Amino acid sequence: MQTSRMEALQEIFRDVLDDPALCIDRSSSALTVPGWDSLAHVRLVVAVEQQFKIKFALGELEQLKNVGEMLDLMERKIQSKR
Amino acid sequence: MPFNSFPFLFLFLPIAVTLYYARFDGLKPKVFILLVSLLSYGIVQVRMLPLLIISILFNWAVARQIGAQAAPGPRKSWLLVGLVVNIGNLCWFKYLDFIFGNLAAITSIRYAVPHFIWPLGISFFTLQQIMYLVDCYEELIPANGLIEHGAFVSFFAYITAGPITRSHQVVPQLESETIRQVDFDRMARAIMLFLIGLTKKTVLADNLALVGSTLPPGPMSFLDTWFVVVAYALQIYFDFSGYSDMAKAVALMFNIEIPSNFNTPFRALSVSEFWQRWHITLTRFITTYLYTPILRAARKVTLSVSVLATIAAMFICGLWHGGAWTYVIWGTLHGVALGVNQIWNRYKLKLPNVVAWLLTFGFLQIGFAFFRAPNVPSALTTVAAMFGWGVRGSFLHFQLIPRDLFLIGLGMMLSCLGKNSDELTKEFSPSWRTALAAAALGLLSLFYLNSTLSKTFIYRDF
Repeated sequence: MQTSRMEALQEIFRDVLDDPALCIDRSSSALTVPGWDSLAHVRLVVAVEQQFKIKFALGELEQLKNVGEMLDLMERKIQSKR
Repeated sequence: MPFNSFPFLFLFLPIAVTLYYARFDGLKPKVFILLVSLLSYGIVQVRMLPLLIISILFNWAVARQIGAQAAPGPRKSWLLVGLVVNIGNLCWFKYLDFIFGNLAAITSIRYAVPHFIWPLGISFFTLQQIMYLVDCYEELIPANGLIEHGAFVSFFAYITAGPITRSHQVVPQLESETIRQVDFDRMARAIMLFLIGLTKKTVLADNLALVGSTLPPGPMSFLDTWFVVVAYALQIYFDFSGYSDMAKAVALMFNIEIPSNFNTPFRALSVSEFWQRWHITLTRFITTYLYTPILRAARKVTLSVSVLATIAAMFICGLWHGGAWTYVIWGTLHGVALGVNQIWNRYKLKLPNVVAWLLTFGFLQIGFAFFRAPNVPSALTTVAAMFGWGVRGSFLHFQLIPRDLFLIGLGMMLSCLGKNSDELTKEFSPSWRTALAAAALGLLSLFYLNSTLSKTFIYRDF
């Protein structure tokens, strides 16, 4: 399940950051992914919300420091929705 | 109380810190901080103290109501009540003149608008409490008790002009077992940070405020215009970052860590990077609590939607600084620049660092020309002069005196090169050398403080 979510997340990253060759893993962060600044971060989060029909709390957004944390929070939101 | 005043430096702060650690009062730390903060607010603006207390009580009660409701509908209703009252209160004190002034211009009717005293720190404690209510609504934090909420909102270290602090950053510290244990290393670090901030304010910002004061009346030359605008940018940087250093230091003296507000902003190579380094706590608020909801309202996140959301958020950011078109234009200009930045990033365009820095720094100065101007026509005259229109003398002509040029050069060096105050104090350890440096900074600051230079903090009025 995590693998397919990771693949979906990768597609979102590629789309939002407009980089079809971008490869991310759990440790990828704003420091290692080109173009992932604070505004792009919000675009990524909102794109994730729209695709997975979930909603992050505003106060949670700054705490997401890397892809792994984003994936885990996504997972928790999806689980709590069920 | 203003940090750059003798009563604060030699009476209020030392007495408060001594009583805090000596525990003569027998009060809990959060009660002590609340009482001292209300006293500090009352000393400066006793007439507005009831407003602060009502604001604290209101937001405390609304947060508890949000927490007490199980159904989403009533929770949302209470949040809306909280947001409307907070924003309404801010508008009442901050924007009545602006709104009715513009209405008068459109309708040609003059309105009798009540004039109020400016409640100290209202823009800051309102934002803090808006974030608090949203965090409670989203169940990120529980509702605060009355005392900790009061202490969190009114803490005299940051109520005047930030850093804009979140409840979850401060309240757990107020409850900490170790909050009243003296940590001498931490205290030494706090004193050093305070002295760096005081030096920035009294030695650099207040002197930079005088740049251009010897110029003859009438149009300035091209170079003088740039020098004067850059001097203002440096003044506001040293003024506000100096204040923020002192705020952080004062909080640290009470064993409370609060976030930093600046990280060498004039080193930025893009406007986006600038906002990650300038007034950081406000940037976080704008990104999280303005830009995100605006973006969410769109069906699909496209580049154009993102650019428009950025401009809208920065428009509000400009308005937050004050009810004047100069601030609105300043904010909107930054919104447009951030939009261009996003398009630029999308097309992966690169510039040599020197060119990127010059473009960014140049743009920032055009923004500051609006920020500092008393009105839009005056700002436009300055911006025109920055592009060489309507200037006095030839292209290379300037009349600034050597002292002004020295101050600008020194300010540029200190603001762009070397370590900033956070970096300096992070690696700080007390020694004879650092004690001498601290003493020198302290003496120099007191020397300038005891002069006709001393000015109020610029952000105190926002």
